Amino acid sequence: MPTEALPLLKKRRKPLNSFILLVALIVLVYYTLVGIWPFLYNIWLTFRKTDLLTEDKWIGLSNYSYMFTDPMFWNSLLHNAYYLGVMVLVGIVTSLIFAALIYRTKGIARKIYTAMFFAPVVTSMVAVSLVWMLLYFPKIGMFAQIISALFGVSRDKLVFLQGTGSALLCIIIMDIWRDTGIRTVIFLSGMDEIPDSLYETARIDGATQLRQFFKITIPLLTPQLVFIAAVYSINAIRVYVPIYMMTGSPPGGPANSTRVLTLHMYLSAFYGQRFGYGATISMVMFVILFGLVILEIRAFQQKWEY
Amino acid sequence: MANTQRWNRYRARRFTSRFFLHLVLIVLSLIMVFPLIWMVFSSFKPSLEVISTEFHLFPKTWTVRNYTKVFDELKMGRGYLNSLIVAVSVTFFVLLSATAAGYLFSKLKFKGREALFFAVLGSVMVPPQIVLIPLYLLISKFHWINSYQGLIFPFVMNAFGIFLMRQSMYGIPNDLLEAARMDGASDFRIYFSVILPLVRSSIAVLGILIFLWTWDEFLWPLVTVSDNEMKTLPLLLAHFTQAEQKFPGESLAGATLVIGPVLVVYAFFQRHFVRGLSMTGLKA
Amino acid sequence: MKHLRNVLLVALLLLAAFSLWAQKAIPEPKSKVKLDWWYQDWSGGINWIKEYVPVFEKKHPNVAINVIPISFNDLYAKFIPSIAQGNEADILFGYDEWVVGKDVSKLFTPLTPTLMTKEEFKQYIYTPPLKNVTAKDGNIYGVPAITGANAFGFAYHKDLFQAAGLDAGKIKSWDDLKAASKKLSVYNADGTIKRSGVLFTYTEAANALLDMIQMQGARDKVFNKQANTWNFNIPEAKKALETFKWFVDNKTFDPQSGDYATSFPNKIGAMLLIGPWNVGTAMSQSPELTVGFILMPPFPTVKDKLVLGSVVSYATYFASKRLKGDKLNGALLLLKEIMTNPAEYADIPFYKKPPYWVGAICLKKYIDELAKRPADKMNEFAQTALTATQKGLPAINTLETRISEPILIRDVIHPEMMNVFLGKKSVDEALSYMTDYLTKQEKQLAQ
Repeated sequence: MPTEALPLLKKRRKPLNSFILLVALIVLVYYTLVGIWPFLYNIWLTFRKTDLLTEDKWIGLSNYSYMFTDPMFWNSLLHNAYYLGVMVLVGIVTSLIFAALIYRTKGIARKIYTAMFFAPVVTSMVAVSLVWMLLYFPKIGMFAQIISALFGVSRDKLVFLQGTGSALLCIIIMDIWRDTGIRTVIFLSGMDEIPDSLYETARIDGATQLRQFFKITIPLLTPQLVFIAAVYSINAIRVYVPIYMMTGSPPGGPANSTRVLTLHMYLSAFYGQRFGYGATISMVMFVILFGLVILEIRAFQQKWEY
Repeated sequence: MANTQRWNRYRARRFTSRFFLHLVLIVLSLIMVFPLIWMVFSSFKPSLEVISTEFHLFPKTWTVRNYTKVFDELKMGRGYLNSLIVAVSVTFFVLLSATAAGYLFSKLKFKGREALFFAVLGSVMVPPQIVLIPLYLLISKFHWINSYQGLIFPFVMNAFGIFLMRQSMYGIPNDLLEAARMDGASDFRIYFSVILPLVRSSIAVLGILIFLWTWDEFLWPLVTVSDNEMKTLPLLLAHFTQAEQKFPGESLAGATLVIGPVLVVYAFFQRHFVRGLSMTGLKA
Repeated sequence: MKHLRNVLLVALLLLAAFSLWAQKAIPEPKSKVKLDWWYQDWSGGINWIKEYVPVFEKKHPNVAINVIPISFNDLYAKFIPSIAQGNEADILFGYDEWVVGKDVSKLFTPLTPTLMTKEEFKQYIYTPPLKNVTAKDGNIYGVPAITGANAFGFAYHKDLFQAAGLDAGKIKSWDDLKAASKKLSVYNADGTIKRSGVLFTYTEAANALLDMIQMQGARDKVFNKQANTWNFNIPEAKKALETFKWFVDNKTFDPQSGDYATSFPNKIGAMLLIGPWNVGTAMSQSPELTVGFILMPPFPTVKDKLVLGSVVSYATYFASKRLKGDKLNGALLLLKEIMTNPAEYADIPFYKKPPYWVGAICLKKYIDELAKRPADKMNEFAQTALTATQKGLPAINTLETRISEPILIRDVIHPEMMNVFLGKKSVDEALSYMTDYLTKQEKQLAQ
């Protein structure tokens, strides 16, 4: 076979090459235009002061030094970190619990529950932000009525998106709600893969359901846990749409309490006419994201073996 | 005798625990879909009723004025057209490029393959915010602002799509390809006749994902489209947050129009949606 | 000889007259042109301009104007970038302070001497609004039409005033304001505020803060243009901020009232610190309201001087620098009509029910006309506009900062004021923060 194929291989070079050439070239051109060049240009921008029109000068590391002492930058970063923490922790815990519950059902009931949990996932984030913005209408909106009816809190205190302490949390809750379906399904499929024999053995040894959960289920779900933690950490750094939609006017919410990095970048560039500084902020975001992705890949590879 | 009693007690306990399990799940499921249900019903209420101090889910007065206003004043129909054109085009191009590139990276060896793949991988880590301004300048140079080309071009290839296709193509046995090559088929032929049919389900999943992501794309159109005739649906919806007055009824009508069709399709193809989206967990 | 000289003189005079006339007249476009006009999307504004455009088009049938409404945030974000990329609209609505410190000759087409000479221009438009749109060579690049967001005073609900037995005309000082706010506040059973007497939740409260500092004579102390430094750690700034805080401490202002656009029309506040533009807006939103306007009382100071508009924005009409030939002429004709026949344009908002817009106007000719109008042809809103212009415009004294209004007012000063109102920062902390942050920005922009 091999000796026969050799002369044939030589002849068949031509058709092989044109496909490879075409596709490889297109991929290369595309990612240069849309990926590599903009990235390099962005780095170039960070060293300049420009409003894209009337001025464009070199200012060296000035944007970077400004950023390190810019309280609004650190404030925004803090908000992203808060977003990350709440989103990942609460998101994982709730989805784990829901998955554990749905796991115990079967057949058509399970299908229905899964379908209903998953429905918010396919909704447009932009549209859903509008809906929640109205639900969160201060003092007289639906959520205000429900919460004050159920928990007896005075309606006047329920300002949600208008309150500097609550605005960001309200947005995070919406975000958690929307993606609960995906996380639950991921955990569910992970749980389905755990062989029943492990649980049998534990039950015979006298372990309660709760103990089984903590000693068997969770450790074996580690790949899923790591995956979800990584993905939602990345999302928390890049978050933009719900912030812009739910606290867009004024952007950044009451007293800048929902100002996140993406928004700070957008406002500095387009409102403050400082595109160089905007580029600098985006570079920091890139570094953070790069780090998170590396962490994800490392952790994922490790736990996969386990 | 005693055994039957114990058995009955056991069955009773199991029944109650199963009862509570389902009760909890029903309540949770309803909570999950409540905002969407509220959205649909409230879109038929007049604006003043949507934000009122009384609580009722069903409208006291049913009205379709919100919908007519959204179509007339906001030109939602045009927005649908724009979103459809962009989403379908992007989906088509991504499927084409992802399968071709997936084939390239999984089965075809050539010099520089690793380097090229690394470049594609790198693009995943670059958040859209970084490339936003330079891309905007580039699109301007082509005079593609406020055009379909401008809305479509930055998305015609998707690194995630390439990974997905590459992954699913690894499973294709190499003997098949060898056999086809022996028959003198070019790679183009192999791509169309052999590879594509074998990854049909991945194509379906990827297609759904890309369509959903493009349908929801907001940041890029925000920066490049100022002409009301060319706005996609998310931009039209954004109008409701930026305007001074909040038009609750119309906002909800707009939101329902955007979410509604997707939910209907979801109801029918639920399995594919779930499979596809869980593979990523990523938002656009 | 004498005869010839006379003929020559007459000929010369005729030539001079002809050239003068030729300069004044802008040729009608020979073919049909269509001009796109980016206009800020605010309730009233779009109604107003859409009513004016047919009036103009009837006079100049070869020019068709397409009004494109864009929200403030979008318009602001796109303004300079689109000009940089060459895809801006033919006619642009913008605010003059968006181009503060920039070379306007690079941004727009010059309006002098093509539209009219610089001297003539100044006869039709007040001088202060022209400052930011005049280039180094003295040519003017925009037509300021109306004042934008400035802290000219307070919008108030007439019915609430009546119910409390108050007369808005009697509020002449901040003490009067404090007393009125106490009477207008309504409380819940548990002592929390149900209705604030006055609201400072709109960003113009920050404009007012700067005005107050200036009124106390501290203009040069708070902002030093040569050194590019700000300093709020001065007693005048402290006194100003504490004046606002008084309303919170005395429970006549609930800082958690929420977004002004919903709270004021819903009577969650009886008065709102805002420009007269909100009179038209609030009533357009909810026609059952009756809203009036109280001009800003002078801050009690040694000098007792009314100062407004430390940070001012004038809504200005610009023409794209890419316009040529017939399109350029069409645009110039539009701007000229607005300047030279202003009543056709400016009367529209005040005489509607509810009024489309009420505020101060930069078109001098119109104000002169209004001032001479007989009483039976004036109404309350035209009178408000007249008073606001006559009292307000001369009191304007802008701070010459490089920082744009959205950053200065909306990003920094107003959020800090809200922090103080909500009790999250002390007055001193907020003033320190503003000092440091704004100085840093100013220095960065001065690089």
